[in-house]
Amino acid sequence: MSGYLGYDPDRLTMLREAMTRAEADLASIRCTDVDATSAMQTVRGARSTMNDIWLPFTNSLFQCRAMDGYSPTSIDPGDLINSWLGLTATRRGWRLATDPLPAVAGPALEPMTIEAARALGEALSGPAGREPMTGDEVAWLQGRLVEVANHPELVAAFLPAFTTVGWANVCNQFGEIRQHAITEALLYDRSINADEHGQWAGIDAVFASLGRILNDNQRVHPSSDRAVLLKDMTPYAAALLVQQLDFDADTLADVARELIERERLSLYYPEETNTGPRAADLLMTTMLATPTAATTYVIKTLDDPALVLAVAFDPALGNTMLAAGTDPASMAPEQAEQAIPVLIDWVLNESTSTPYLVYNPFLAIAAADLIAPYLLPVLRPDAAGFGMSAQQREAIENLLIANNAALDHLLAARERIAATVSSAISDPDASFAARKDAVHDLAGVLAIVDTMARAADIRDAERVVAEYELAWSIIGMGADAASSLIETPAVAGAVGSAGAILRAFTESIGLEPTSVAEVRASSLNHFDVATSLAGASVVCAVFDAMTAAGRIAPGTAPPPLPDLDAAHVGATYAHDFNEWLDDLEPDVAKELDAIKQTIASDHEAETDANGELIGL
Amino acid sequence: MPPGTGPSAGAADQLRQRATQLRMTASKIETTPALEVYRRAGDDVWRGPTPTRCLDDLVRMRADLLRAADDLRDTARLLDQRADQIEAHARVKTATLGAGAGAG
Repeated sequence: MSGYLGYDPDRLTMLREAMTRAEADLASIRCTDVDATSAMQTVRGARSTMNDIWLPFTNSLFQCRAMDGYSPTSIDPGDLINSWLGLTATRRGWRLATDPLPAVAGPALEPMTIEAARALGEALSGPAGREPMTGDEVAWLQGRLVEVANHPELVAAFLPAFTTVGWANVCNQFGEIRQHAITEALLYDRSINADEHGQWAGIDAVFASLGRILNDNQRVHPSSDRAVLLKDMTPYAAALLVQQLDFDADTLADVARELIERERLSLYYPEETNTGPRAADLLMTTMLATPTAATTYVIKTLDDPALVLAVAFDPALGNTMLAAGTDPASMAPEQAEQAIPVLIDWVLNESTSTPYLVYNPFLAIAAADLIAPYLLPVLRPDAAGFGMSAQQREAIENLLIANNAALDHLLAARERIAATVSSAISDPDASFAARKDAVHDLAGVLAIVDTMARAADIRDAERVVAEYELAWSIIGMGADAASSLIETPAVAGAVGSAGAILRAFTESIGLEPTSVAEVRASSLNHFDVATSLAGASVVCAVFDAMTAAGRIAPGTAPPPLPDLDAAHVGATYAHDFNEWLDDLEPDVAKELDAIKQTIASDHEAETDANGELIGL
Repeated sequence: MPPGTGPSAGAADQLRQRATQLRMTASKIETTPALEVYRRAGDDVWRGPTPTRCLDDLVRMRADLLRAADDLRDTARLLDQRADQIEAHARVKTATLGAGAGAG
């Protein structure tokens, strides 16, 4: 805080005259009565207050010839508070002098008037905004900006005085301080505790107030362009400010792209190494919190998907952006048709890049999340698809199959995937054709996911068996090598057969891996169960819809469910289902049977097609 | 001896004179320009740590002076009460003496 005082020379003259008159008047008050002793001591004390303290002090201000135009002190232009005080004083025609009392922290010196708000903008635009601020100055500025942000008339005075250069200087230095503090905290123990966070809480508060000021001004002046201020800022500083601005999704995506591209360039030849969130991280977090912004950004960066998936310090943010940005809830079908193949192509290219996989080891999971809502258009080569080539489809499936976590993601999303295509099945008003189309799609989805899961299981089994065989081969070779060194044939033979004996023992107690054939059979059985369950689910949904539509009489026995304990689940279910159909109206029975056959045959057909694609 | 002409009357008069003097002093304090100086030392005149302390001093000085004037008026009232008591006592005494002389 300031070690200066400001004063109005004319009014100070009047104060001095008033004190002189008061002192003289107090001197004229006399009373010798013994009971007036205390009162007269008070009078003398008052005289002393003026005579010994304040008159000499005001006289000293006059003696330093400030009234003649001589400034008794100069203000450090790099000190924000003093610089602001100097501007405020000058604007009022006041003079400044060194204050003998120690500085007091806080904004008590000057209430935030219009004039003071303007002076603050000017001070921040000068050297005071460029020089590194102390913690006290940041705290002081934080308080002042809150005052400004709370009063439109102060905003109107502050903003015109705060130049673009000033904005850049202030935001850049705060951005730099913040990024350094975070880097230090993370380098220390890779985490940020509350105390460390407190180091930049004041800076965040300053950005919050600056954002409020700009947002309020935008409402008053809709034609003003806040993005202009960002051009001279570092991407990180600009991102901190953008976090506080109420940009619409389109503007936010444009601004984010511009800043992230600039940051990416600057990271090619960094002046310093920082760790922790970058501008890209801050902007992606902001976009994820702004409805439709993630989708807008993904669409706007289709010419360079790395701007989504290869720019954030935390690759998970890029992955989340990809999933959120391509979510059918915010991405229109025509946008998806344009975007998804491009993104898949980029993912497939990067999936063979070791440096990229070191940066983003969860790329396959991101790919699973990307295609989950678009499984059919991506993986089914028909007219309604995205036109992916067989090579692309095979590559993306193999990418997921090779990654257990990715496949798990896809399996976990199976219900969600099915939900997107099965709504027509349970719609009471849906036509038979529409219902059949929906069943066809549902069967396709189930088949694709099931064949991928089966392929993964079989490949796992193949790998485990191969490893097992390799291990025994090595043991056998080692035993043979050992036996060749032993001269006694009987002993050598015993050593050489020890590996085979050990293997036989291992397998006798059930420790050998499941054979590929068993896994294949098991997965086929699983497939049979999945088909039966899918068929039963669809039949139940259609039964409900028909009952709701009045086509099936209330009280009719519900459809059977597959017996999962049966030796042949599919055959048992088919038998039960056909028996149940016999009790229904012929036209209803015919329709339900067609639905059930559709899912079974489509499931099988799609399974065959997809199995062939991935070599199952 | 009629009331207000004996030694007691002299003492009461003296007390009343002192009370008057104290009230006059209180009046002077209550009307001194020193009480208003603080109005000329506000934020519109000067600002800074020292001006803040000056204003605080002047406001405190004003409160002290007004309290002193109040004390003087309280003391004057007490003096008047004592004078009243002296005079009342003198009247009772005179009446008692007069009754005794009549009976004798």
